[in-house]
This record gives sequence, structure tokens and C-alpha cells, in this order.
Amino acid sequence: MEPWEKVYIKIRGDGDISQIDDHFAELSCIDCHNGNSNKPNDKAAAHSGLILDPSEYVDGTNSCGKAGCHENTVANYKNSMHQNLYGEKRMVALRSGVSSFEQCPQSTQDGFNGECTSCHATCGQCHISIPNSAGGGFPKSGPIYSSHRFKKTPDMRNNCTACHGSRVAHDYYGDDEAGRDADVHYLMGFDCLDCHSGAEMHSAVTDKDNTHRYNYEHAPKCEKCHSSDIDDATNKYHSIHKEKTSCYVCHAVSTTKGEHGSYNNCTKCHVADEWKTDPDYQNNNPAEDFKIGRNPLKSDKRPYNFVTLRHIPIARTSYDNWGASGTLTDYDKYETWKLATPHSIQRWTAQTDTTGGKTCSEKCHIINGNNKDIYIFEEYIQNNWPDEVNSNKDVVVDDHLPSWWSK
Amino acid sequence: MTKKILLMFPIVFFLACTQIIDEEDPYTVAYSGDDGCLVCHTNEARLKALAPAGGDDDDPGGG
Ligand code: HEC
Ligand code: HEC
Ligand code: HEC
Ligand code: HEC
Ligand code: HEC
Ligand code: HEC
Repeated sequence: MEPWEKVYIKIRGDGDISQIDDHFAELSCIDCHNGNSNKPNDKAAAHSGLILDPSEYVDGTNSCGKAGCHENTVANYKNSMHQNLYGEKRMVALRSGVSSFEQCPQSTQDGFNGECTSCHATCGQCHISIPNSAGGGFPKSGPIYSSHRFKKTPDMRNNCTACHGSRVAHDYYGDDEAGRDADVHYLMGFDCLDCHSGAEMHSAVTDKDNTHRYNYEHAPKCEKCHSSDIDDATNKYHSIHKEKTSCYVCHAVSTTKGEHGSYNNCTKCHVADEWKTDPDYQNNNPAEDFKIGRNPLKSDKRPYNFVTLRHIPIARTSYDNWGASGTLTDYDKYETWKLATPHSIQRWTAQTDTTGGKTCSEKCHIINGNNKDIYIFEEYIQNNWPDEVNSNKDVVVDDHLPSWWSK
Repeated sequence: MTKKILLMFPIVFFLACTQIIDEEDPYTVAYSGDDGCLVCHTNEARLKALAPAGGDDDDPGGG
């Protein structure tokens, strides 16, 4: 998109701007954005004192939260995951050996607030503009300008996957070049919001220091929609593995075995602060796939013994460039192979493949050393990232596989 | 079908031309609303002059 298009409000004929959106019937630009509406011939003067994003919080509220407007949503959202990144902050704190983000070294807090919070979502980034991190401005679909409309329902591509671009988008939409099929739900026309909800996006977090990305109220669950499929006794995969193995272990696309193309792990591009997109690295990338490992977040909601894990790009030295070297004192305590819930669901995957008369477990159980490569073993971490062996003690499968399997 | 296209053509042509005439001089203030911001933000030609192409690459977005 051209820069001018990003700020263009298209009015039809001699129409009035209030025809575009009800907000404009009552509010003028400067009611929300400040600036000077008497200087149309002087760009700098017109924009003096401009508030670029009126939905950014200042002193605990924003322009959407004015009396009689969206007071409740604004009050709740102030303490939401998307506004505060509690999930990320929690891990920064834990690895720094403290129990809340506010207790982290000042250099870490400043570094995080400078670099990472640019990804937090303001109301406008879901309801009006393309998120800043993806270039900002009003979206345009084909020839249609969104013209500063306030959209009740965020747009999957212009809003959600503009931020959730590298993992979720590539998995969910599939990738022809990489030979990766799209998620079955995408092919059936599901939007993010058919599974995720406004309540999930808006709601306040109650325990700020202990809420992480996977311990979030209103999060969707495969079981909610598929309870009858799971209880269907004729599907032996289901009746045998129910509550022991997460759905993703069988239904998420993995590459190691080939046919369906690859899951996009973070480390495919992004390793310990560096972008690794050169072909050399790509061709020898040791961890672009998820692995099956032990469940680091076992709970009533997530009772499984085995789940899919992804390798996250955190190194002991990651915050050194913030001037916080040596402060990740508890780096060894928290897994760098974290729970993953890839949005790359298929009915049949390489793990469950039975074509050509294979038995149901032939491509998944470890028998005579086969299939070892889709599980996470300590030796594998030792060989590739020796500094991460301790961090992952609790997720490696070494002594936890069924005794009748033969390594 | 062909008849429709023949009919459409003069209409599109007419609209496109009046559009150009409307926007011929981007610096003349033509809008008469009470909000000066609209003078620029609703005027394609003015915006093109004030926000030229080139510069920032779009970031691909994060995790
Ligand atoms: C009800 C409050 C409100 C009113 C009225 C309003 N805006 Fe906005 N505007 C916003 C919010 C919120 C955003 C989202 C900012 C973001 O996501 O970065 C926004 C975004 C924008 C952007 C895009 C900024 C970007 O880079 O994404 C422009 C340009 C803009 N407004 C211009 C205007 C103009 C011109 C008017 C008057 C016609 C106007 N706004 C009226 C609240 C308002
Ligand atoms: C401005 C960037 C941005 C936009 C836009 C955005 N997200 Fe997020 N989202 C994030 C970040 C960053 C996190 C991680 C928060 C954490 O772990 O601390 C996140 C977390 C999540 C989570 C996990 C936590 C939770 O809330 O359940 C879900 C699900 C999610 N986003 C879905 C969506 C959907 C659906 C949309 C579109 C309606 C969307 N996001 C729009 C940046 C964004
Ligand atoms: C991460 C994305 C995201 C962010 C950020 C976000 N919303 Fe929403 N919002 C949603 C979704 C999803 C819905 C549900 C849409 C639907 O049901 O069609 C929604 C619905 C709404 C609605 C209409 C339904 C209702 O609840 O009344 C309003 C108004 C609204 N949001 C205002 C806000 C305000 C104000 C903010 C900032 C304080 C905000 N939203 C921040 C995603 C977001
Ligand atoms: C078929 C249902 C479904 C659809 C469609 C869906 N999700 Fe999810 N999503 C889930 C489930 C289930 C989880 C795992 C929640 C849990 O285990 O707590 C999840 C988790 C997430 C998370 C948090 C975990 C992570 O990987 O960071 C994000 C972010 C997310 N979804 C974003 C999206 C976005 C963006 C879209 C649209 C492009 C989308 N989802 C579409 C079901 C869905
Ligand atoms: C909001 C409801 C919803 C959620 C949440 C959801 N699904 Fe589905 N899913 C559907 C519907 C509807 C279908 C199509 C009907 C069917 O096959 O049961 C479907 C189809 C499927 C299929 C079969 C596709 C085929 O080719 O027949 C699989 C496998 C599947 N889902 C797995 C999952 C997994 C794993 C999760 C969790 C990540 C999940 N679903 C979350 C609604 C949902
Ligand atoms: C041990 C592997 C395995 C696990 C774990 C697993 N599935 Fe399946 N599932 C399969 C296979 C294989 C099929 C295809 C069976 C067929 O078509 O005959 C299937 C079929 C399905 C279908 C299509 C409808 C049907 O019953 O045929 C849905 C929906 C589904 N699974 C959802 C889930 C959900 C949700 C979970 C997690 C609670 C889950 N599965 C866990 C292997 C598994």
C-alpha cells in the first residue's frame, strides 16, 4: 500500500463523513486525535500536539473510554493480556529469578518496554488500523478503502495475523511454497474468531504475575467442539490416547516424516537475537519442527502426559544488549522447548499415517529405534544446544516412554 | 452482456473525468465542512502530494 492510502478516508460523491461511521456523526477528528483543525494548508501546524493513537492508554484510560462510550471495555482491557503482555513478562521475571516483572533489573524492564511492548495491541489495532508492527494505517481490501471505519469484528488478515504472522499465519493459511497444507478449519472457512472470542481478547487478567499465554480464561479448547468425536469408541486412536496425549500430537502437521510439509517453529528464522534466513542456515536448521515431549503445563484443563513442544529463541545472553547481562539467573529452571499448539490441524498426519498397510502406530511409537526423531531426547539437546540441557530436564522423554517400546 | 458493457463504458468514463476535474488542484481548499482535517484526509491528490511513496518497508510481524 502507498503511504497516502494508509491515511485516506474515501467519501463517496458529496457524501458526508458521518455516512462512513456513526462515530463521525458525533465526534470530530480533534476530539480524539487532538491537533489543529484550522490549519488545513500547513501539515506541521495541523498535526501539532497530535495523538497518533487515541486508544493508547494515558493515565489509565484512553479516548474510547470517555463517559458514555466504552467505559467498561476500556476498564477491563487495561488489565488484559494483549494490552500488557503478561505472558511474556511472566517468563522474563521467572528467568530473572524474581516473581514479578516489576522486580526485574531496571535495564531489563527498560529493554522490554522499549523493544517488546511495541507488539501490544491497542483497541485501534484490532478495530481500526493495521497494527503498527505491520506498517500501520487503514487497511484496504482489493479496491475498497476501509476509510477509518470502526469495525466491530476485527479482520483476520489485517488485524490478527498482521501480528500473529510468523507462526500462526503460516500454519493456519498453509504455505504452497513450503508444501504445507492449510489447517482443516481454515479450509472450512473458519476465522480466528470462530474459536477465539471477544471476551478472550478483552477480559482482564486476575493474577497478573501468574497468567501466561496458556492459562487464560476463555481460551478455546478442541474438546469443546469435538467431544462426541473424542468419545467415539470406534476410533481407537482416540479411545486409547484420550487425556494422555494432546490432540496436536496426532493432528498437527510435522515435517520430520515428510509428506505434509513443515510446522513453522520460531527458530526457523530467529535464533538468539539473530534472524537466520540465509539458505545455508535454513538447509541445516536443526529445529524447525515441533517435537513430542512431556507436558510442562499439566493441569485439569490439560491433563496430557505428552504434548507438542516448540523451540523458542531465548538464550542465556538474550538480554545482554539491554545491559542486563548475567541477570537470567534462573535460565536453567524453565524449558526452552515450550508447549505448542500449532494451528496446522489435519485429520491424517505423518504421525498417524497407515497408507500401504502400515499399522496405526508404525509412524509414531518408537520400536526398534524407529521414529526417535519426532520425540525430544536429552542427547539431541546436548548435541545442538548444550547450554539448554538443564532448562529442559522436565520435558525430555528419556525415562518416560512406555517400557514396552524399544529404543 | 455486450450491451451492458457498452452502456457501462460512458458511465465509467464520465465518472473518471469528473473525478479528475474535482481533484485537479490539490492545494485549493474545496471542502466546506467544519473539520479542517478532512480537507487533506479525504482528498486523494492532496495526500499523494503530502505523503509521497517510498521509505519504510513493512515489517512482516511477529510470533
Ligand atoms: C472516536 C475517536 C476517533 C475519531 C473521532 C477519529 N479517530 Fe482517527 N483513529 C482513532 C484510533 C483509535 C485510531 C487507531 C490508531 C492505531 O491503531 O494506531 C485512529 C487512526 C487514525 C489514523 C491512522 C493512524 C495509523 O497510522 O494507523 C488516521 C490517519 C486517523 N485516525 C485520522 C483521523 C481523521 C482525519 C479523523 C477525522 C475524520 C479521525 N481520525 C477521527 C480514533 C479516532
Ligand atoms: C498488535 C499486535 C496484536 C494483534 C493485532 C493481535 N494480537 Fe494476539 N497477541 C499479541 C501478543 C504480543 C500476544 C502475547 C501476549 C503474551 O504472551 O504476553 C498475543 C496473544 C494472543 C493469544 C493468547 C492469549 C489469549 O489472549 O488467549 C491469542 C489467542 C491471540 N493473541 C489471538 C489474537 C486474535 C484472534 C487477534 C485478532 C482478533 C489478535 N490476537 C490480534 C499481539 C497481537
Ligand atoms: C486483540 C484484539 C482486540 C482488541 C485489542 C480490542 N478488541 Fe474489541 N473486540 C475484539 C473482538 C474479537 C470482538 C468481538 C467481535 C464480534 O463479536 O464480532 C470485539 C468486540 C468489540 C466491541 C463490540 C462488542 C462489545 O463488546 O460491545 C466493542 C465496542 C469493542 N470491541 C471495543 C473495544 C475497545 C474499546 C478496545 C480497547 C479498550 C478493544 N475493543 C480492544 C477484539 C479486540
Ligand atoms: C479451530 C479453532 C481455532 C482457530 C480457527 C484458531 N485458533 Fe488459535 N487456538 C486454538 C486453540 C484450541 C488454542 C490453544 C488454547 C489452549 O490450549 O489454551 C489456540 C491458541 C492460540 C494462541 C496462543 C498460543 C500461541 O501459539 O501463541 C494464539 C496466539 C492463537 N491461537 C491465535 C490465533 C489466530 C491469530 C487465529 C486466526 C488466524 C486462530 N488462533 C485461529 C484454536 C483455534
Ligand atoms: C469452534 C469449534 C471447533 C473447535 C474449537 C475445534 N474444531 Fe475441529 N472442527 C470443527 C468443525 C465444525 C469441523 C467439521 C466437522 C467435523 O469434521 O467434525 C471440524 C473438523 C475437525 C477435524 C476433521 C477434519 C476432516 O478432515 O474431517 C479435525 C481432525 C479437527 N477438527 C481437529 C480439531 C482440533 C485438534 C482442535 C483443537 C486445536 C479443533 N478441531 C478445534 C469445529 C471446531
Ligand atoms: C493418537 C492419535 C490421535 C489423538 C491423540 C487424537 N486424534 Fe483425532 N483422530 C486421529 C486419527 C488417526 C483420526 C482419523 C480417523 C479416521 O478417519 O478413521 C482422527 C479423527 C479425528 C476427527 C474427525 C472425526 C472423527 O472422529 O473421525 C476429529 C474431529 C478429531 N480426530 C479430533 C481430535 C481431538 C479434538 C483430539 C484431542 C482431544 C484428538 N482428535 C486426538 C488420531 C488422533
